[in-house]
Amino acid sequence: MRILIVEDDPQTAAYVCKGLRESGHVVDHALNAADGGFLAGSEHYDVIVLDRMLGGIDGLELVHRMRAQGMGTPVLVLSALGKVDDRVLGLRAGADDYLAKPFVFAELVARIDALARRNAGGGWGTVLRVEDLELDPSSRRVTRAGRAIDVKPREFLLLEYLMRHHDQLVTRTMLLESVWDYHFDPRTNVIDVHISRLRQKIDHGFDKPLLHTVRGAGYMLGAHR
Amino acid sequence: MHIARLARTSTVRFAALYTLVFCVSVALLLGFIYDATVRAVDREIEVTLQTELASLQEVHRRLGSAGLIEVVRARSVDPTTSANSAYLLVDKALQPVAGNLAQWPATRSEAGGRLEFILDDPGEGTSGPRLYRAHVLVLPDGGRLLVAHSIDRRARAQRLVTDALAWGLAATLLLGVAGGFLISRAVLRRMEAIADTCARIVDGHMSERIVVSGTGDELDRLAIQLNRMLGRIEQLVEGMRTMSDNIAHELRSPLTRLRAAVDTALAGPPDAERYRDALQKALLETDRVLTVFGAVMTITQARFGLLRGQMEVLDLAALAAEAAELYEPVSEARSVSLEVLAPAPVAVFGHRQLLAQALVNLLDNAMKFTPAGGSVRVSVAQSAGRAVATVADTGPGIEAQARERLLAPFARGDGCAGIPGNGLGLSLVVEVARLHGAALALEDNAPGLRVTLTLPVRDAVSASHAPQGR
Repeated sequence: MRILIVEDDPQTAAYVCKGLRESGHVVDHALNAADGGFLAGSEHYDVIVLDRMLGGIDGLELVHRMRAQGMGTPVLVLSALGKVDDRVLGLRAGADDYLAKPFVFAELVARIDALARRNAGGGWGTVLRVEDLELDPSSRRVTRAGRAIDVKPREFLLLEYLMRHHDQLVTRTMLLESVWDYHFDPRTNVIDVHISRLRQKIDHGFDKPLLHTVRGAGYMLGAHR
Repeated sequence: MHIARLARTSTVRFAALYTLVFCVSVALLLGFIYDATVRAVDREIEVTLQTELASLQEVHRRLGSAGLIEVVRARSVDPTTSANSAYLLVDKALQPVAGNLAQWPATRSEAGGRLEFILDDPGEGTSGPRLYRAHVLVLPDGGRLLVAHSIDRRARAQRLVTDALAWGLAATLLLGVAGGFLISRAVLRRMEAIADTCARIVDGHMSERIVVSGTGDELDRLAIQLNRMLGRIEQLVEGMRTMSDNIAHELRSPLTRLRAAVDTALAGPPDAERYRDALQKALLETDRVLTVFGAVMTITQARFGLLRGQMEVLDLAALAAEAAELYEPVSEARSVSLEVLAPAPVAVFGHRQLLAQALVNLLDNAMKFTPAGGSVRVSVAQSAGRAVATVADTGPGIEAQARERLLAPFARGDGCAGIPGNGLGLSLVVEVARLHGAALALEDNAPGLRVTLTLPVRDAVSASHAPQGR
């Protein structure tokens, strides 16, 4: 994947670039909004990671300009810690996701993957399949190996999200945001309990577990860890 | 109080303007009286002279010159008429024939048979020169008859009114200036009191308040509002101070542990496993610090009302049901029954994320403190125009005297040892309640704790048309 990082703090930028390159991505780095805008306009990127504070210039302005020019590249905005209103402002400006600094690197990677996957697009109406697990969004039916599995509405949403991001790391905050629309961290193990209940339903009685916990980071749905 | 400063105040300027207006009206009034009085006196003298001259003319017509001389002589000596009147009959050569004037007077002015003159020595019983007005009748034989009347009365009236004018103006001016000064000083004194209080507050005496006189006037109303404002500011400043004290205190422990972990790792022999351990520990403590920071930031934003712009009409019942649903598996795992009583939508105007977080915090507390076999009950209802959200548990509850204290940031109850938490959960609820103009009550659920949030209801019509908050 080709990723553009627009970040004026060299240390954060180096940390992010190094990590993403190690994960096999091609990464370009711009130190300011002007360079970032130029690169975004002249090159093709799968995802742009943009800091909000760019030496006096609000990164959201760049997003706004890009959207005005019809550029649809997914943008993830990085912002200062704990600012509840930043997320709304970011999404209003046309950003696709938002992550507060300081962040866990795995969280950033997971979100970048999710954004890229979403952009690859497709199939909101089609039946989702991971191994022998099937989920039909239109009839809201879940089956594994042909056997119907009874899930509650929220479990359905949870499973749908995990299946759309199968074989990808999905963090707790990503689930809270997408499935519950909670943009704060309850700081308890509530999500773990939901996951283990879902796991009970889709994995119990089958040889091959599909729902895995990635220690210290989140979860992954797929045949292998 | 300094006069120069007093003169610059708006009250003094108003008082001066009022004094000026009063002086002008007093002058106008007295001027009018003066004019009217002089006119009246003039007319009276005129009428007297005309009547007298007419009667003497009649005498002359009936009795001839001899009769006229007789009557003029008689009147000249009659004390009732001669006191204020003068008569003089002269022949063709202006030689006196009869009358109490020695000679034809030197006139001051003469027009159409009317003249005014001054007698330096009017005779016994009077002192000083007197001013007379006279009418002159030219007789058929060429002689002239002069009838004069003292117009001292007119001058006296003139003087009286002029004096009154002067005194009146002086009094008005004096009263205006003195009154203006006194009123300004009274107003200014209260203003200065307010300014002094503000100055003392700026100097750091945050608990100072403006004295309210109790008359309920506009200055009192101003003072009451200012005091309310000062109260809120003091509360915020005090909150910030305790908050920063607490943050410092709260962060010291994880940072100390973090430092210790790093220090110990560096002190020993280089060993990958030990380093890994130390880094794990460091990461854990860093996360703890960041959690505190995040919570504090959210509380601060709610406290300062920075998030008001993102408030919208939303259904509190749905919000509570969602929050409860998040905890449903937890309750199952902990063998605590979770009951939700939110049958009908209740529209409120609020910040979706913050209200959800407040409800989640309350639920989280209820779950943490309720033992297995207990129950947690969430209910949302509308009553008397208020939206009432309640989270009640059957845990140990909080003693009445400890409730207030536990609302403060970082405060934790005595029974909290071993239960995870940073003492910021309820503080966030407090600030969210304040942001929403809601009342927060901690009560005894007998047994357990019942927390009630009471918000103003947004009317249902606007709620049904508002976009659903996402």
